[in-house]
Amino acid sequence: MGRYVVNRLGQALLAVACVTALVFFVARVLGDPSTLMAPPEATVQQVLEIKHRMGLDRPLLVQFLEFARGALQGDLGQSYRQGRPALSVVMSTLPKTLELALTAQLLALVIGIPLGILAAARRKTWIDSATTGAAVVGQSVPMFWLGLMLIVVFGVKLRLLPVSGTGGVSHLILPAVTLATYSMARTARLVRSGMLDQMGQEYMLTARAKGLSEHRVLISHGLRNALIPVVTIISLDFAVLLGGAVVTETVFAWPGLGRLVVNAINTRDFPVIQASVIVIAVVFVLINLIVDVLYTVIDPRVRLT
Amino acid sequence: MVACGFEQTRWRGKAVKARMLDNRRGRSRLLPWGTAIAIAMVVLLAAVGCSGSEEANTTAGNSVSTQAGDGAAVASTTTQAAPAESSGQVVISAGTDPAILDPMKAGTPHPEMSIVSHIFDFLVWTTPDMQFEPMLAESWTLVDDLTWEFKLRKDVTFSNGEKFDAESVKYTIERGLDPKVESTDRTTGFISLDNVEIVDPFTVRIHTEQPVPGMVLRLSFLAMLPPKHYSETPLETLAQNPVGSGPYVLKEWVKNDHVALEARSDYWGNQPKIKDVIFRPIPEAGTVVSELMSGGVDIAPNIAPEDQATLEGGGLTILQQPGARRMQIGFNFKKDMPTKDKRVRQAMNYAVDVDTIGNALLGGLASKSFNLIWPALADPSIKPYPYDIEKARALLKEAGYENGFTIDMQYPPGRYVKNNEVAQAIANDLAKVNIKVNLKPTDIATLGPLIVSKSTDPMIFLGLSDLFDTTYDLTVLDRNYAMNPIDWQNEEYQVGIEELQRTVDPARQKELSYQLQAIAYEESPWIYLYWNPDIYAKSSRVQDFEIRADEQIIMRDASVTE
Repeated sequence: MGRYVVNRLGQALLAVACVTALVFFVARVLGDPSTLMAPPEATVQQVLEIKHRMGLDRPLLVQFLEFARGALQGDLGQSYRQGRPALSVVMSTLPKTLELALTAQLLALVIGIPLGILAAARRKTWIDSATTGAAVVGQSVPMFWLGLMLIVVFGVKLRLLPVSGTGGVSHLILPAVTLATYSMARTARLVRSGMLDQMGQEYMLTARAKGLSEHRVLISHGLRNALIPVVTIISLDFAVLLGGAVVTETVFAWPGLGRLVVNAINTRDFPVIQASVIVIAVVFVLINLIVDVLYTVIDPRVRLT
Repeated sequence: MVACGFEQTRWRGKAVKARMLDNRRGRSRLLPWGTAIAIAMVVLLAAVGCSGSEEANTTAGNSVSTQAGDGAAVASTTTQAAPAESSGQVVISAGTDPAILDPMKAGTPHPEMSIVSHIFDFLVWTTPDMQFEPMLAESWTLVDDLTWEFKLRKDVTFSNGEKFDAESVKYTIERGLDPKVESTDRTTGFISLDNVEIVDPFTVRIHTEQPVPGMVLRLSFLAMLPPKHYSETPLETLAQNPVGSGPYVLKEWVKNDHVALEARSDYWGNQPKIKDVIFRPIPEAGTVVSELMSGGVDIAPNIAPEDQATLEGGGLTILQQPGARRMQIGFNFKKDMPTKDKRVRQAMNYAVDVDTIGNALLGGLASKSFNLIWPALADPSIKPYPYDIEKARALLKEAGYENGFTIDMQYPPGRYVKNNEVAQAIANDLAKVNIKVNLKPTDIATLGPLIVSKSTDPMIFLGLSDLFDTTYDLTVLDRNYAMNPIDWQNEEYQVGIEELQRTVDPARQKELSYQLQAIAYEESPWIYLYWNPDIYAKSSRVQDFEIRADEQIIMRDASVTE
């Protein structure tokens, strides 16, 4: 186990390093922020001076080595726009990002799994069709449309919930629901098909023959196995929720990491782009590692090599 | 399938005993769980630890809609209750969060300069219709070509207790030129400063190496800073903690969520009527409209023309004006295209039906203008090219392009009101005279370096800001200027503009300005389109609020009713 973890951490480090290098070079190929930082009446000379001052006219490899050296010491550079450490900029968005991502993920599970079980248990009835239909709709609906619709209904017409921004729990509801919808729908479908799979297995028949209640058969036996693919999906999903919830964050003016990254790209704030990518990559590989380790508990057939 | 007990398997010909596959024995469950939890804890601690230090920038005080649970108190806010005169709250939306509130590094008119204009004062104040008024400077004179003298108010204190005097002015100007500060301040680059002389505690003389006719304009952008605070605090802290002499102080800044300003009780000027001014970054237009309708936001800029009816139906007031952004299509002369012929350029000016575009797409707010220069400063005898398709065809025929040609046009999509649709409409108009325009939407960050190196497409559709100043406006065609995307080599214009930049005498300025305008009109290095309309929405709660041509939203004189 220990050796496995160490091995994986090594691989994780390599993955993060590669991703960072890739983003570093690609971002710089697309231009630099010196024009954006210069006042409108700057001369060409002044803009070139700004570029020089920022060190952006040096060879790419030189810039990368300097960045790598700093990164190894924990310094990911200063944000061009905000004049403070890029890592702080990114980390300061984490609480709100986690708040939204965790809530959405929880919602997706709490609603998706029971729905999936229900659909599987009541297969071929109207409940199954309704649930599956709803799931398909949930997966197809574009998030920005859903978000705006929820805003119009609950925020403007009914005035039940705030339209955007952060604050108490009431501010969290609409964005979390919007973000959770896709995940919820997919989880429901996955659980349903997983359950159907399990329900056809012989051991389920054995369990029923033993006299166990339907409830125990489904949940304690069937669900356990059906959840394995769901766990895989969660690990991928969560990372996406952290860094990729841009649309929801934009619609609800939620101060999350997704929006930060997109803004940084638009303003060519290289240090923030890099810091964001590193943080997201690190979280992603760590979550994957945790889930892989947990697999050995969930599924005893799995061995870590 | 596996049965209980030991199972023999064969691997590479040797019998290998397999362990029991019953997970209740022989396998520890603790280890994997423990490992997983350990990793998760480390990650969470790191995340909380790194972000915890950020919370120190917010107060745990009352704020509009934030859970300030983890906030620690901020050092720089004064927390006296505002006097009975200031009350109420107004919420203003912006497209982005401010990046930085150090006034010498703030870039965007809104929200950054809007916020700066509440927290700081200037020597000279710009009114909503872009006139200059004395503010921290009571009066000023031009002593000689190279010397400006300013007499300062004596009753001003900064919110941290420092007194405003000639030292503050000297410090501020010198800081603007300090390379360590890396100011993007538009003022100081032009000052060509020799030195700032303190004549007496409330009189300052600015000596320059070259004549600077636009000194007052430049100083109207330069927020006055308290020397002690700004020289003793690290740059990084100053970026987030502005301290000025204005009527408001920064109460709280939760990144990407809101900036809260609170009225001071000891402001030297008119006590603001509104106590709390909150700026909220809301990037999505649909959300802004919803917030306006539900009362979450009181004032919003950049309203799309098609949302006006909805908003007016919801009880909001629409404020609009032809704004101060010059929408034009520049011809990039670096490329060898038919547009090098003056007649072709003029033809294109005749061929674009701006008025129809304005009515159809921009709610009637835009009309064809010779918009090189702010109307109040323009030569009144110059009328914009009228829409005359026959004249366009005649000119093209004369130039030998009766059958037209194909040309590429770049523009930053979505950056200005409906500019995607406008670009298509213009391409349509030009198609009628056989000119086929290939539209190439390119985002502004990518476009930036192309503009500076003058290597954009042969046609480039932009909205360039206007500063209500003759020299500034006409400098946009100076070929040394970074933001001039076209490589227009016109000696006569170049000589003229360089002289204008050094001319202090208003009469000669006007003469040169009219000459340059005439050249620009005749040579048509641009297709002159329209002034980009500014459309704002305002809730009925807000009174005495005027929109400004410089796109800033300022509540100093406004009030709210409940």
